[in-house]
Amino acid sequence: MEDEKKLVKNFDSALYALPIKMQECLLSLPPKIKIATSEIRLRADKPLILTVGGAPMWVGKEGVADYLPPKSPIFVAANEINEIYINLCNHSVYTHEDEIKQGFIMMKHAHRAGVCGTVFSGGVRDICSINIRIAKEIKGSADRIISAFDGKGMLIAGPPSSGKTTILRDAVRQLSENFGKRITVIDSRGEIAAVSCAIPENDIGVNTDVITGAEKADGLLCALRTMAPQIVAFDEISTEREVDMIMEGLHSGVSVITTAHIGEGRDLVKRPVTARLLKSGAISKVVILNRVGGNVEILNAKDVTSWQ
Amino acid sequence: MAVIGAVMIFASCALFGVLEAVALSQRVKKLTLCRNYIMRVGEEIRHSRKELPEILRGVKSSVYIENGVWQNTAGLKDEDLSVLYSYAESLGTTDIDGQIKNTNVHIERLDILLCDAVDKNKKCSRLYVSLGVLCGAFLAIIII
Repeated sequence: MEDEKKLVKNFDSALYALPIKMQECLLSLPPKIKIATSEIRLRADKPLILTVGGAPMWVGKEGVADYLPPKSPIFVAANEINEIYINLCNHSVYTHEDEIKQGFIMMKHAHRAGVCGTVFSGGVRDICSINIRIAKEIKGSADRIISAFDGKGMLIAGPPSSGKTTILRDAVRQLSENFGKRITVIDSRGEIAAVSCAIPENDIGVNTDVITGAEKADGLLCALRTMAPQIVAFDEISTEREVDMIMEGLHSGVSVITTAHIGEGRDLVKRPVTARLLKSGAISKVVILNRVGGNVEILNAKDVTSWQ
Repeated sequence: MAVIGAVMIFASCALFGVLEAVALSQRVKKLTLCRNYIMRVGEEIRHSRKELPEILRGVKSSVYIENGVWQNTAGLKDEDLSVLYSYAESLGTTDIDGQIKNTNVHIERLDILLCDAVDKNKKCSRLYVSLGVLCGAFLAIIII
């Protein structure tokens, strides 16, 4: 019950950048829909769409949501997209410049907004789409995997919206708080800890340090040099350089917990970055999540490497 | 009665002249304050990279921006206000280079207006006072 209330609150807290009328419609949605919503998709001159349980859902002006188009759906005007964009940046686009160049904006309360528009050397202009991804802090979501963690590396893999970040965050909290591990989180997109005014908004444990906004590879190097962590955690491994840094850590006695986007399990050995990571020996356990977030498969990295 | 009327007309005309002169110097003062304010906000954006609401809270001035609107701008002309509104509208909407250029452009535009205001103040403030007094005296003599 308390978790449900928190998830409803999470949804409500992601609406602050929207125009008031849009906010009112979304706030009046039933709690069930709010809990199941993972994304709010806004496109210029197109209807507002929620992603609920992986499927698109329309929202009517009268505050109802349905998988079929309602009589009067909420439309997002082109000027509203720009207004939302400026609000997301808290009227300070220049402070989000580096993020915008990478196609996202770190929002308050660990939410993240993806932005699409015309890319130019200084950033993005003529914003046409915004995708607000709602962060979910669910304590206990890592219960199933935490017992499998053997102090060596762990890779949490799954398709988008399968709950990788949610599980990673809870794993960090549990390892830090219950197992007394010294952890450094590289929170490049502010989704794990959501540090605001130097204080993490999400519970990531008492023995956790956070590096926010850094490139993951740079953050890893910084953590290894300065924070003497036992575990380094970060979201979405995506570059060879990050694998190099993980190997640096491996040879310094630091283990890693990270996540990876995959479509299905076999993609782990097909994606060059994850294949190399698994072969490097830095990962001991692989956790594979399915799209709906129900099934969790825990495998030995060696077994996964043998898939070809 | 005629003398009292004449004195009142003289005083009104002289006061009108003085007020016009004060308005001219007031415009110079306000434009200077606005220019300094824009410059300080620009410097904060460039160096501290804090978010705009925090910067605007921190930069103290008698002419300032609150909720995207300039406050205490009485005494400025429409042409001055249009520059200030354009600045407030574009504030925080671009990357750092854009903000620096935006600050410089608006300071240049304010400099032109300020030059003009200083010039007018020098040329006309004494003139307005003298004209007010002379007109008052002229009308007072006619009445008496």
